[in-house]
Amino acid sequence: MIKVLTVDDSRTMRDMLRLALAGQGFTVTQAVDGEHGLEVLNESGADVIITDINMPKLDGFGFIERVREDAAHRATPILVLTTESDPAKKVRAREAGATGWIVKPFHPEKLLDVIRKVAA
Amino acid sequence: MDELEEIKLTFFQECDELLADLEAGLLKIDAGDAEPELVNAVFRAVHSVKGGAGAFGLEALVRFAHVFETLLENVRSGKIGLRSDLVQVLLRAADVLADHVAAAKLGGEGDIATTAAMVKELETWISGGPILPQSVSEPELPPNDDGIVFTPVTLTIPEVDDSPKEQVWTITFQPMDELYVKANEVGLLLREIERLGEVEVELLDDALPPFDNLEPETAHFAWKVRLKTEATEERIREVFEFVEGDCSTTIVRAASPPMTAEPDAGPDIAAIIAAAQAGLAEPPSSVEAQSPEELSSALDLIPSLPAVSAEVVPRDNALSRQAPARAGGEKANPATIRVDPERIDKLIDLVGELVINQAMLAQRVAGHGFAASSDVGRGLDELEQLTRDIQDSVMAIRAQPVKSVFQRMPRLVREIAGQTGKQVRLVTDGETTEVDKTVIERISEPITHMLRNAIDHGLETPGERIAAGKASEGTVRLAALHRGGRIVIEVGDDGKGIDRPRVRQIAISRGLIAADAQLTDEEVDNLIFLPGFSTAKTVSDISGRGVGMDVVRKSVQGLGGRISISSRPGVGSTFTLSLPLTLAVLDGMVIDVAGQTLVVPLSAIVESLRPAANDVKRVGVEGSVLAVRDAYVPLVDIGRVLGFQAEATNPAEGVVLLVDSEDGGRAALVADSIHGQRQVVIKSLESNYKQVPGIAAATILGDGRVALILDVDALVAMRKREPVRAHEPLIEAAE
Repeated sequence: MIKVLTVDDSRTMRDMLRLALAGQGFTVTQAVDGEHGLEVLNESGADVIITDINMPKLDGFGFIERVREDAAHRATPILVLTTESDPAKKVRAREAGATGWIVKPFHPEKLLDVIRKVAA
Repeated sequence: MDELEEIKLTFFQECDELLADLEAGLLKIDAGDAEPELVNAVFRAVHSVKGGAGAFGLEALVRFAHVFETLLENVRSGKIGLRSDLVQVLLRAADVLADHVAAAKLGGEGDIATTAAMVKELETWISGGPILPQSVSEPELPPNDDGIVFTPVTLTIPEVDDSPKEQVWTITFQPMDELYVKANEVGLLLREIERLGEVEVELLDDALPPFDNLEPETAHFAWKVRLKTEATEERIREVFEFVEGDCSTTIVRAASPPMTAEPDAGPDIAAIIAAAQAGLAEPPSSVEAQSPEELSSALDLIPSLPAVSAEVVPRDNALSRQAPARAGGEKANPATIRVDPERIDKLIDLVGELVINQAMLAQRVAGHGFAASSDVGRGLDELEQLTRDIQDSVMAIRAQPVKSVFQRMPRLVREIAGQTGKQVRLVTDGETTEVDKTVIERISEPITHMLRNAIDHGLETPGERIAAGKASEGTVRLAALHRGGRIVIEVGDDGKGIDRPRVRQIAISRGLIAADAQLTDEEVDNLIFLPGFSTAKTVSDISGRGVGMDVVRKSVQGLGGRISISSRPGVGSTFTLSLPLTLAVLDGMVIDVAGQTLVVPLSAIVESLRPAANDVKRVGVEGSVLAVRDAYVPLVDIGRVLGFQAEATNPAEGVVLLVDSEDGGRAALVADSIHGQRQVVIKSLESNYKQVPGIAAATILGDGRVALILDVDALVAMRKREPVRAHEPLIEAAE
């Protein structure tokens, strides 16, 4: 089972991701912002992380940077999930250490495709 | 319910929260809070509404949210300064957004004209910002470009093509260090390429330095792949989408020489991928001299190379084809669990039974002569404590902060302010105060009405305020707090206060009081609660169509609550509501009437007294009144009104409960005796038996007997309508 950590302040989005991933061989854990994401990651680990960018407390950029600072998660793929198709945001996310991105709208199959692209 | 429908419900719930946050944030900004995080929070709220709406294809909502968001983005990035007139526009835009959400909830779309006007206004700000026009030149996202759409789609995959043209490509790629830093993996890239067709992979290890010079964090290898595929170049490039810039890649179509390998004996991709992941296909010559142990310990030092342990990636490891399994990860969302409200109601009911049972048990044990200090007595004490704790905890499940009611008020206040031409600032306090859900659902209306009243009647116009030496903007304060096991809600204004001479004059002209009545200020203030009393010259749109404070008071009393007013001329008025925390239990006075045990809601009782015989005066044939200090109060014989007895109890031999009745007057209920105050669990008579006039509900007492809870207002009204009832028992047997 591939453990996917989803970090998004929108409950709707978290539920959507869970719906798309559940039953497809994924275990889904959820966090509501970057800080919470770090906590959940420390507690339960993750094989793949999907994170939103605009979040309270610690945003997606900060979250990714903090994850990468942790030696244990330097090689954990991080996908940025955001409604921004703004290329500047993508660049910033990559600079922070994001492995890839999911541009909305996405279909559940597309989501699986992208995860497959980065997850062993 | 379909899971997607459930998420939709969640979405709308979330929208309500986001809209509340949006408004709260804007109001704080309006109040001068310059915290940058506030603008971010406001932006996020609109952004999240848009994101979710896109997922459900709510296009009108998405379109509006998008424009709103664009303006907020400009504010956030500093392109547009946050001026107070802009904040007003944003507040109104928030209202329009709320309308859209409300409309979407019902399956419709927001009002077109209002939306168009608002969009125009927002766009003016977007393009009229002090410095821009970069934002204008940015291509606007198609409105439905956001969110996820969960409709079945046909994926266009290359194989679908009818006349596939197989071609051979040579792909060379050389990862830079950065590729590994971002947790991308060459092995996975190769796997993706393999999915496109037949491949031959060659590892280029020319750049691998001698072991002594090996930099563990540096990328050393390159790969050359020959790919025979029907896929387009674009599709191949997509494989490298995430590593663009972190990897020098060339993709060249080969002149079309056939694949060198025999078709049947394809390359062992798994082995190649494993080697690629390990970063070493074969030990390069310069490293050959090292022992395997040394090599492996050296590799352990390379943290940036993922999966150094050389896991073999199985060829059929297609994620989406794995056995279905429930996502067991919900544990990471510990904040809430969803429970059917009916289950909670059932639990509350059961705990009610437990409380009753415990009381019965205590009574029986006491009846058997066990001392309180005995083992049984002490055990029972503990049980009682435990039962009470359970009751409190269970009630807490259904407790909700009043925030859900309060957060609807700023908009109302803005609307009324707009209609009356008054400038109003709403200050709220104690939003986190919790109260039972059943109460929450019913306090919104009285609060709404009191707020309307405070602005419409309480506050002066800006001109009047300035003339009175006040700030042109009036303040209305809405606060909630816990006091004495009840929730207290205060609605105060800093307006002109109650115009007592005018109230008095109106009361006289309507025959509510005698022209020469001597009333204290407090009594005059309370006249506004009399039915039909309205100080507005015309029935205004705002304070309701003839709905006066009497209706407010009635609905508050219906909740077992009380309402009072304090007012100072020129300084303002404050209405105070005091409500029980729950409607499941009631503080009652247990009384005896004609051999029946009854419960009178404590909230209705003003005082209890034992009248002297000469205080009772007969009026007419059947009626009688009681002289209480300097006023006469009609006597209501409970036993007679309810048909328990034919003859009235002599008030002088019993006890009289002075109660506030619906018409603003008082009445004196006559009972045989009083047992004392007790908290009782309310049992609906309607659902267990039938509706009985004069009876609000029933309860079960500690000794197991059913006791009826009186509906005081109805009882007083019944006495007026039919002072003498036939002697027929309303309740056959109270067992």
